Amino acid sequence: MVTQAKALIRRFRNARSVRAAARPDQSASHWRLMYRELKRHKLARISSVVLAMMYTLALFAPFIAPQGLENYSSEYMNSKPTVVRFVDAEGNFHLQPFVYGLKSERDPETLRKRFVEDPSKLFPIKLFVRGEEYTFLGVFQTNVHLFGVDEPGRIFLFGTDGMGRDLFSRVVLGSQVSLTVPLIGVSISFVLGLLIGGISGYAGGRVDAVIQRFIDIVRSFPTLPLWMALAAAIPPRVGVVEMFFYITIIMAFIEWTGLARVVRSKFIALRAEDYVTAAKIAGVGDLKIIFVHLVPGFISYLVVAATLAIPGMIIGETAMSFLGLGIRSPATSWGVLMQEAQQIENVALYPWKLIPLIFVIIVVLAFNFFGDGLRDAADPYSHESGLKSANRKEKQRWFNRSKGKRMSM
Amino acid sequence: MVQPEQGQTDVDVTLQRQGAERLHDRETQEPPMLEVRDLRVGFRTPAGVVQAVDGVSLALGRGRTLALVGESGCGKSVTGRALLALTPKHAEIGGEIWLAPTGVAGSSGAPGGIRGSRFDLLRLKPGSKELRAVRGGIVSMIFQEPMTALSPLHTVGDQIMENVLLHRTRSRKEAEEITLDMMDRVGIGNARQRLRQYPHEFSGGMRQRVMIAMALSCRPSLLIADEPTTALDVTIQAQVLELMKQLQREFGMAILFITHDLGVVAETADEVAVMYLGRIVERAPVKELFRNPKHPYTRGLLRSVPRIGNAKTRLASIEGTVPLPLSLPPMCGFYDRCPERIEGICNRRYVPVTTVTEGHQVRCFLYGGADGIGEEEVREEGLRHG
Amino acid sequence: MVRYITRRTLVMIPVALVVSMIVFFIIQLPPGDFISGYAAKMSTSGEIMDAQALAQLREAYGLDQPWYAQYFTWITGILTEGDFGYSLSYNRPVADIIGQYMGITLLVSIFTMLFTYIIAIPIGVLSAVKQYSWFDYLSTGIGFLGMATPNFLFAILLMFLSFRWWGDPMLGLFSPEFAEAPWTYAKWLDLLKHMIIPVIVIGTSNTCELIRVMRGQMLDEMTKPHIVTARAKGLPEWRILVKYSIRAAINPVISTIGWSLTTIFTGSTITAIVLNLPTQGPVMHKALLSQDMYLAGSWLLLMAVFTLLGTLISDILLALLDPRIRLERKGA
Repeated sequence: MVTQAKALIRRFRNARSVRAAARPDQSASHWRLMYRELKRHKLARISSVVLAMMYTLALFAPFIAPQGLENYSSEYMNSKPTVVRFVDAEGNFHLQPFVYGLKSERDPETLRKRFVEDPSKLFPIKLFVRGEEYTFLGVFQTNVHLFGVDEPGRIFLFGTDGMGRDLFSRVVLGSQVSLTVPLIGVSISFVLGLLIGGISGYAGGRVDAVIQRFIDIVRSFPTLPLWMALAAAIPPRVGVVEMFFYITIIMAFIEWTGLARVVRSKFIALRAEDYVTAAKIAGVGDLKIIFVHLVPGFISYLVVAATLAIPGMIIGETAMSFLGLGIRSPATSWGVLMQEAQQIENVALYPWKLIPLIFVIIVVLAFNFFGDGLRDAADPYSHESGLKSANRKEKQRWFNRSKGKRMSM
Repeated sequence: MVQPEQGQTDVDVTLQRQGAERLHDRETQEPPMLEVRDLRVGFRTPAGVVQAVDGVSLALGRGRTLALVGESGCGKSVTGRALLALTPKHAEIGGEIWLAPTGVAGSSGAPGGIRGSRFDLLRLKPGSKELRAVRGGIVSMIFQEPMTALSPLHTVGDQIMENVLLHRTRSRKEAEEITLDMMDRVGIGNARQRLRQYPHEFSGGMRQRVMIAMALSCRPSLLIADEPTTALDVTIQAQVLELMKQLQREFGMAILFITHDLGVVAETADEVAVMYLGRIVERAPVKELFRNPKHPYTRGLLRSVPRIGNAKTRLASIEGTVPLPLSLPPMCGFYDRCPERIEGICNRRYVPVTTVTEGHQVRCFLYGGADGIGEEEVREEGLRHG
Repeated sequence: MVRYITRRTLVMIPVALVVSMIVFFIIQLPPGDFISGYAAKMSTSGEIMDAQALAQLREAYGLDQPWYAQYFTWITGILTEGDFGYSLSYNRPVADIIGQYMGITLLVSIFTMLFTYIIAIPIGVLSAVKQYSWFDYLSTGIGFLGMATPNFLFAILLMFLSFRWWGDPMLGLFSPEFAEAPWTYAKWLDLLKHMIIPVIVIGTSNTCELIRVMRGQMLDEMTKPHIVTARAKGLPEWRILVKYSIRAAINPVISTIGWSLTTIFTGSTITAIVLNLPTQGPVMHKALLSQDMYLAGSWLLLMAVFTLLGTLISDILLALLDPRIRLERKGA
């Protein structure tokens, strides 16, 4: 009965979408349909906006951050976040927001240095101020930053760290690493997975058996300890760029196996389809069959799998950097920023040091929701769990795989 | 749930009820075992209420077989499930379903004194003891897919016995005896061993036998068979049908046979009701219907059945598909596909039921109902607004 | 079934051997070895070791040989006499150290797993039965949040809260006064108290994931045709739920016990480092950083073997729970 009703609803929906998308071009309309389904997924829509904002932030990071990576002011160590104000101590409203100056004093009880606002000094926040030199979008040198205050005023939207560095600037600049490592890592594993999984699935036989055993072996490694071991193997004094490169490779090395499995099973399923046999009989070459007939048949599933692999990578990079096995200074990432939070006293006294954590959570959530939306869109009959269309064994495998991934942190 | 604008008029109901009562007057003096009056089932969807069953009235006497025929999506399965109050939560159900079961041997387990009295199934509270006593005890059901209709994780014996334990006896030993006997009767050999096997160890036909054994284990008064042979191959189909007929003779239950297969209908039914778009468009004894189909839809259906000896003629098909029963305008549901439609009449108003001969009713303007169109329209308007 | 298990176990052996080789290879990858790290440490405290002394040390520990020779010695030691080598940083046999930390690591893992299953299954079932209720939305929301928070960062958060509320971040598994004390009732109590944060931290993302899976499975099972059959028999709703829906939905969840125990075991590494638990995490971290290769290698190998064993246990459980798979295996 429920299925009856569902069938009715589906018929109705199909009727609608057929009318709307009555186009002969099949593959184009598949992406189109997927896009339409995705737009209907509210959480995915919100997530895509959040992600777009985050990546814009990363792209324009040096411009948005008021300070550079290396800037620090030893007199402002562990300063709490500056409050942006519109109304001053006398109750006058200012159209241009401002911050108060900071003066340090000692806490009478703990004798610790702390900062309090000095309402006598008032620094308006200005747009497009000059500051640290940087290369904008890798093209031209400039020193204009989105906002800032005049000397000797200071603006620390998220407070400062133990070395007096502006946490907001570091979060913004760190997003460049934290947001690109997973993307590049996933791209590499995407290519590897497509290639190796494809070979395995298309060739079959002995080649398949060997590749499958190899994948089994890679998968039987406990993910996190393996990461740690590999990260420990990175030479200690490599440059920032190389370090970034190594970390990405390590991520991709483990992730590709999952994608290769998806590709392989899809290849095997599609290989048996009549249209592929027809192409073979017609004398179409192997490569052409693969890229013209097979890959388009499952690429959307692969994109979904890849998107859902990103959160794991973000957490992985954060974890490695957090342990001092990943990105090292002078470069920074959200994981590096969390290092100071390792000492509990630090967190207890300066709770703003947890702010990078919020960013990690938001981005991971956004990628999760976005991936969920994509999955539902790619497979409209799998609404509830995303598992319905898969058969039992696949379900089991999915279950194991995702557990293995997510649980390891 | 009564939606006056849905078009089923009191006249229709009365006509059909008269038909039903006549049927029973002929055979026995009691009320029919099953009497459905103006059954409506609607599904709430984002796009509005889909009226899957739109005012169906039926009657079925003890030991008789009524076939409910129609294309997929015409509401026949929903009707079948409604007879067990098995509609999902988001469905709106209205009308009356009167059951008059009699005490049958071996049904001592049925609580609440339901047997022997006449009651409206739809008035029973959902989840109540009485409703549960009806399900499986008085009315039971066979489904189309014997594969998925059985739980893969429980033994066949466990699943049949569950029914027996619910309605007939509390003793496990006795229940097992009954189960073994039933398996024997439906032709599952080596029952004692098969009892402990799982559904996937049975073939499709055997699984359907299990379903039948399960459905009949408590000697129900009414069996609803929802396309019981569709998923089986032809030779097995014949076996299962034969088995059902034989068990009907043995147990004397009434069968509501839901199918789209007219061949099966000819073989099993006493009476046929043709359903289209949530309504019954024609009803007749089986021979009468095959010999003298009236409704254009019924004729279309019959023409689309291949016949031996007619190999040269092209098999006819009915143009178009069943429209979605979503906010239907007041017109004949078959209008768009009908080869004999009368413009200005068929698309203007709902079609009333006309009696062609005794026991043969049709819902089509070709056979009347359109004569006094102006006069009736006034009456109907009055009814609708009153 | 016995044949299936035997075959699976036999396949595991070559895989474990290859894994051990890769593990060893990765561990010796970083330039330098334990001795050079040791020498560097000594030199910071003013003691300069000459090249000859270093060479002698290397020879004594067999570090002068190529990695495959070292591997061979190591693996024969393990296979023939269960000797996992010698930990240079602890100055004790590796087997000793493993023995010392294994018990407590397993204890934490098992507690975490119990926590996970006991919490996740009822919540998952309830949110499926009451789909789209406030409870469902709440558990889904918390579930997503829990999955998105990396465990070790969650650990910091909890430690922070514990510090704020009770003035004690609950680091480690024992209060200082109990650390060396014999096992008494009070010590157990102290251990349990300290276990709360680690168990919650290690278990949460797991629990959240399980809730999602359980809910999805339930929704799937609750709409199966055989549920309608059961309803048509007149079975009360709660019995349908228990006998059919939950029974079927729980299968894949229960069968992952083997898997999840090992992933908890290996996955708690970072959390253990952050929370300073006396479990394998910090030990391995230290061993990796100081290139104490036999210790690190043995842990990694053990974990890989655990992973393999966990998969096997899961497969066996699945077969025990599901007659269809049982039949399939019998045939194979």
